[in-house]
Amino acid sequence: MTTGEVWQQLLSSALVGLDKRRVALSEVEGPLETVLAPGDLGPDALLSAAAAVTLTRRGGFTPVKGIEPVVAPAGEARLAPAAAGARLARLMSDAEGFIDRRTRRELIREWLELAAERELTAPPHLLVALADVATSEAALRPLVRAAGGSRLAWLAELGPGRWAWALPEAPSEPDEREWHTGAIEVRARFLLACRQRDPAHGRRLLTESWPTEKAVDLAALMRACREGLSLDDEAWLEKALDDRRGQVREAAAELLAALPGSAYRLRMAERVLACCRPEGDKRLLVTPPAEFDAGLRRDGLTNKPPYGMGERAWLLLQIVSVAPLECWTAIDDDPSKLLARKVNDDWRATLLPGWARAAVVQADPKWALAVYRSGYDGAPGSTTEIVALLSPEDAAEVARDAVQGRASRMNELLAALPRPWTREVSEIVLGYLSKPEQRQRGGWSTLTYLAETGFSPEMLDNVVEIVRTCEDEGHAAALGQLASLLQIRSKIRREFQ
Amino acid sequence: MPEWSPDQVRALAPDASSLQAATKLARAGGWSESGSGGDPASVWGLCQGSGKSPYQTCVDLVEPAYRCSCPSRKFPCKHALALMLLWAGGEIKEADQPEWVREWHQGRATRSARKAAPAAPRTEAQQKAAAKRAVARQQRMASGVAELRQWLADQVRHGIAGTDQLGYKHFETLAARLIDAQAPGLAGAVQAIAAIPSSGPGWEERLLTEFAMLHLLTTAAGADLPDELAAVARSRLGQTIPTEQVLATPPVRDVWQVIGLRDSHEDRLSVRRAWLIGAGTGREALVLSYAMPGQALASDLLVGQAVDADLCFYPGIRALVATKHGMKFWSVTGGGPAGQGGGRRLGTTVAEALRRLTDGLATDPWLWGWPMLLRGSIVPGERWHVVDSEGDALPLDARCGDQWRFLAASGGDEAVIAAEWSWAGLIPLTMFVDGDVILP
Repeated sequence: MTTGEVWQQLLSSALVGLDKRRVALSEVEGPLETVLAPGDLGPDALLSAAAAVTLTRRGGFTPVKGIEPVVAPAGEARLAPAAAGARLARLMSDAEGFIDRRTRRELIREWLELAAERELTAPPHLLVALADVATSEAALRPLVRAAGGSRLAWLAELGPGRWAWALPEAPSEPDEREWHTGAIEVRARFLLACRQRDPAHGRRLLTESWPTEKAVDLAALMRACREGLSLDDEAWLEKALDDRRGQVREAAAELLAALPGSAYRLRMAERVLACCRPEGDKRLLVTPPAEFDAGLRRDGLTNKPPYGMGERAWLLLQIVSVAPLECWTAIDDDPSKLLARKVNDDWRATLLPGWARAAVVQADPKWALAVYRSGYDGAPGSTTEIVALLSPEDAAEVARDAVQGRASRMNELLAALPRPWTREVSEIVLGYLSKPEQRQRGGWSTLTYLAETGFSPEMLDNVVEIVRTCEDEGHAAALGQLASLLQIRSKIRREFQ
Repeated sequence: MPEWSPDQVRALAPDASSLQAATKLARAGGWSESGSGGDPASVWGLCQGSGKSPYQTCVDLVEPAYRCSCPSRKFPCKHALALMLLWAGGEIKEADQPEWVREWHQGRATRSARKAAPAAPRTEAQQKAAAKRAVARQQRMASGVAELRQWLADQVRHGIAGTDQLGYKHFETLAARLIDAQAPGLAGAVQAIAAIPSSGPGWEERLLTEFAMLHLLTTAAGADLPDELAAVARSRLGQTIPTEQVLATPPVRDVWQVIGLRDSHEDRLSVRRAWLIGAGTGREALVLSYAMPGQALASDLLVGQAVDADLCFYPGIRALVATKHGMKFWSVTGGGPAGQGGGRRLGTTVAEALRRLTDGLATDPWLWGWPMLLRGSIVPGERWHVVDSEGDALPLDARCGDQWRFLAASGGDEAVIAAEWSWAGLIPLTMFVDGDVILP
């Protein structure tokens, strides 16, 4: 019997007990031939034989055959310099323990941006950690993809599904089989690629498969048609508004709202102007829709207000949010003039979030400025979206006003401005920070904290200069912290050279 | 020119807060009269603390050993760490060692000479008493061995199939009796296998394997064996070997490459296993260090480092670092300093590693792990593998999970992979690729 057969005998006897099943070895072949004699085994002999088999197996392990390496395609991208790579490794592993989480994330982002500008890739051994960071933080994905290069795409193909976002873009020549058999993400991506080169073809594909699609898939596919959207799409989208499935109507309304010159937008403009009428130069008379009619339902509105809001206010808010902003020129040329008007009852509180939403969705910097200036203090996150739309000149002007005003609002603005801040904004903040008496005001430490990542590292010299000439010790110490972070950031930059 | 990277210095920090404080100190400036060099290679400086006079900080880079006049009881303290960070960053110039640094080195040399001096020879009475104690111990040990042997025989006689229903108590009772019999080594071995019945499918086979190996040990306890095997068996049975006795064995000097570390916890004690492979001799060694709760584990052996040192071996693979002759960072591409294995291609084939494992088993049949420094590719799959250029593959231990980081680092290409071979497969510890030392 072979070593394996011996082991099976020993094991089966040991399992049920030697009292119940005895072991009788016949002639043993192989390495144990001279070690194990045939015959009946007692408990000690069984254990000795088992030890012999164990040692034979451990000492004579046979390598596995038929395993082929899986090798990544040779990368064309250049690797970031060693010093920069080592820095990223430290940032990722939190080895520079003194940096708090948010700052650390900002520094990682900065590193990735610097790498992307130079078309350099991150050290491969960090890709798993980067992929996991970007899996939980979608905003980092484009940067991580760039820094990951072909190695990351390769890894995502082999790796667990959570890295699917890092899969390579659909091949330049889309494969129509994907459309018929792929998962919904793949199909949506295919459709998007298709719409990029031939919107009509994409439209045709979707119309053909329309009857067999599930509502949730249709909504995803329709959103992919935002690419290449034109008035040629209006007919099928209008038809989709009559669909009995809510998700489909919602997607159709979204697309039509984004389509310049659509009848949908005209309808919304008419509705909004029917609700809001100017009274002289200084007042606006608002009368929200009296009832939720079939037309409103068809155009994707709902009559289910969020908790705490009346139904009429909700209808008004939805209409104002999707109406094309240019329709307001029928009342005032300049949004700031419109926003300055006095509004009857409490309707201004409903109009403002609607305008803010419209400004963000329609990405209108002029409206964004007007809404911000009006003192709009919306839901968390919406200020960030508004501020991000401001032109650099407007941003500087707003910042100049902000440092004169309430500290909390100043910091809210500065936290929301895209980083690094422009030279103008940085100088305004620096001017504020240079005055020791400002430290007595609230929000000072938050501001220095924001400046740690808001300033461009070129500001280091200016900050050091203030620290050097400052006579107030506490003030100098507080700014020293800022200086040291800017120092790290300028080191990160230098490491890329 | 510093031979340590800042990362290597960071690895020496006893805890995160020390490192944080040290990083701040290193950035803040405030160091004076600093310098590096001399023999033994050192770095030193004065750091202005909160007190009147500055702290004197000095690091012997060979040991490494630290001295600082600050009151901190952390080792190394933040000042020593900060100093090394500055040095590793290339910000400390070469200089002659000042008086206080030389004095410290001299003091240490005197102290260690005194420690090394042989103890006064034992009197006749003492020797007699010791011999008596040894005999008594032998007898108690023999009774423990007999007890275990009988217990093992009972297990296979009655059948092990139901052991997973019996719980830890089944093993604990025996372990307690073995401790009473002053056979802590056997008690520990019994406790170590207590978890097997609850370790999932295939536990029966694993349990029989461990029973068989314990049985083999009880056989060895009473057998007439060659000296080396007998010594191994005695140490596996739990006989402690005094450090002096180990240090008295002929040292093995080599450039010892630290290929991987693995930490575990035994009985509230933290244990660090450092796997070493000699660059010249190719010999494997295991250096253990222990830490009590709240203490930091020894950090003088860093992965990726090659230490020119004398090692003294316990019976088997375990060793002690007796004397260090210097500390260099091991460049993987270079494979250690020239003349001591330098220029050699690092890593072996699977077949070579298995051959050495067989030799290791011949010395110590009770090995539970074996270091391998393989040159091969890591291959993902249902079961992961490391495959070499000959097409020979070893499976990874399924318990250590998927090794995406190693796969990403090597791109599936050939790399040097340090691993511990457990009987369930490879446990990858370190990958050396493009001069980088990558941990899982």
